[in-house]
Amino acid sequence: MIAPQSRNGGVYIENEWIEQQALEVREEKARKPFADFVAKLFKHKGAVFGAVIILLFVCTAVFASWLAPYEYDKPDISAVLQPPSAEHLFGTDEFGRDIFSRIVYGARISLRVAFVAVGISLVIGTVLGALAGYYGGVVDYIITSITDIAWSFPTTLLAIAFIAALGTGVENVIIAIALASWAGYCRVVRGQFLSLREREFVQAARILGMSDARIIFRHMLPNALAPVIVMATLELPKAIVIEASLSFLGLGAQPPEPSWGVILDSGKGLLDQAPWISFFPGLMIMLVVLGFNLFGDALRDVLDPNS
Amino acid sequence: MNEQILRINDLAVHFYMDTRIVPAVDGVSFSVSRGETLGLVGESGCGKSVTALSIMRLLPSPPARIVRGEIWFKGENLLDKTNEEMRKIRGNDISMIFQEPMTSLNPVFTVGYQISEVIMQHQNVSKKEALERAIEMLRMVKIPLPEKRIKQYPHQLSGGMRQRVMIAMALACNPELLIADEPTTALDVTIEAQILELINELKERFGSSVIMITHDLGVVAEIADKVAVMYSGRILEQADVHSIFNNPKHPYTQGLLETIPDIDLPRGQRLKEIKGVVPLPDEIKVGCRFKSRCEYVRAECMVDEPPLMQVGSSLVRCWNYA
Repeated sequence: MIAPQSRNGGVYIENEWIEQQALEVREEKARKPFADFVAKLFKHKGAVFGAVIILLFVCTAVFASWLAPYEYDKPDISAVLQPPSAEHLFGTDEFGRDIFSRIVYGARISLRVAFVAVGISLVIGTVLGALAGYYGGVVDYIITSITDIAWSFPTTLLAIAFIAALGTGVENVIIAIALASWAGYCRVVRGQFLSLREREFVQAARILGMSDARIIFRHMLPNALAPVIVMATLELPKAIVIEASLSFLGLGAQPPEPSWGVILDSGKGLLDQAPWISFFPGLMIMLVVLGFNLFGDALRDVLDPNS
Repeated sequence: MNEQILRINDLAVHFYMDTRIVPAVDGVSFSVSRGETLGLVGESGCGKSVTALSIMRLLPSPPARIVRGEIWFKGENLLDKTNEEMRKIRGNDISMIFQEPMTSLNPVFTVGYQISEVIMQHQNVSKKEALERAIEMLRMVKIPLPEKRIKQYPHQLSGGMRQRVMIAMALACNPELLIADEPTTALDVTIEAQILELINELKERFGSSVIMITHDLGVVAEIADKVAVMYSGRILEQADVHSIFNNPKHPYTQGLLETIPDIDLPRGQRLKEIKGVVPLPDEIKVGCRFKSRCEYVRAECMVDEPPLMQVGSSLVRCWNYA
């Protein structure tokens, strides 16, 4: 292409023509940032594998009532402790309940606990971290102190402590996990905000008369989200494991609820006669955790190339 | 025309560090009239930016604190305002652009959103109207194809473009005072000329006043009506732009002008410089602040600091004119 002859031949006009070209090139590139992101993500074999597992897991939970051949809590005395067969894919337990159906319904509990607990802890941690990082000073001191205390306990232990106070049950497990795991987000977001606070565009927002709330949540937060999203993806499997652990210990979902931890627990006395009762829920926990971890790692590679 | 829009009286800002107190700005007074451009000149660390941030009431505090003085803007002392009142003034009545156009825009929002957001913050207009105003502003700062540009993100723009967008944002609400803190330092010379021309043009158009903070006397000559030369937290000389360039009074101003490279300088000859470095504001205990670097230093400079004296049409802080 030939640069159009400008009327006065000024450098200015020529510059604009060059910028015009550059603009069009850039437009080409930036047309689909999301498609770009997905393409990058799916170059990772791990990400694809992880995404497939997650998708299967979510679909299982959503369509449980269609997928399960039996009701999860209906005993069948004629089919007690059956090994895996065409009729009972994963076998049956000591009450004759179909393990496959129980696992399918159990996915619902795991999914709900994982997403709701992670969602709550993400909100708590992000808001506290943002306030601490933005305001600094006394606010930062108070929030950081609380966070450090929460951070110093192992998550599972802290969750057990909250269960002890709240009582058992799935809802309480969700609250306990949320309250036990927000500290990580808080630390990450606080760090992000500490560096974002010094950025010129934040200063510019202040100079143009934006309110603090607007600066924090509208201008800074979106810039701090990438590591938080990665972290949340890696927290989901942790929440699933903690829920299963608590249920296994009898602190979470209560029988006959088909939490994977509960099923695992119910099979532990029968490992020599009916190993399938514990084997399949254990396998499911492992696969789902693996899927989330693979996906989360790939997400980190794509979103945060520095780490 | 001669109405004073901003009047600063005896402003003093101290930074309270761990072991010492640094008086970054120490008794600065000046005024800006409607439609006038004041050049605030000085080397790095002389208190120019601190003065600007004081006007915006955006000093990092702690450690900074305004210990003394008044900042009168349209008949009201800004130092008496609450934070919420100040927030409404910022961006609407007083606006500011600064040095780093590359990073002054939020990377996650489109240009159009960022300009219209400022308008919506301060004026009761719909999203659509604000966006139309944004397009109009982009056209005014001479960005081609503004309808297309508003949908773009900052990373898709060049440095000069971004500074234009910043200017558009700063002027979106038609502020009466624009503070420009070294707006062209990070740009190419050709872009610099364009931006300065643009600021001048928009100033005429909106009738705004401008405080141009710079260390570049070339910029001052281009744009300012009057000039205040700052050194170590004090104004050393204040005069209209012609007096500053044709008849500089203070040895420091003279030194600054001599440091401008002359194209006719014989090859191989060293460029002139003012020897020494700016002392930290808390290093000077007695006497004139410039004494350690001054060529015309006298006995009284060591003992007492000269007051700001009227010499001809200029105000000068130097014993040589007493």
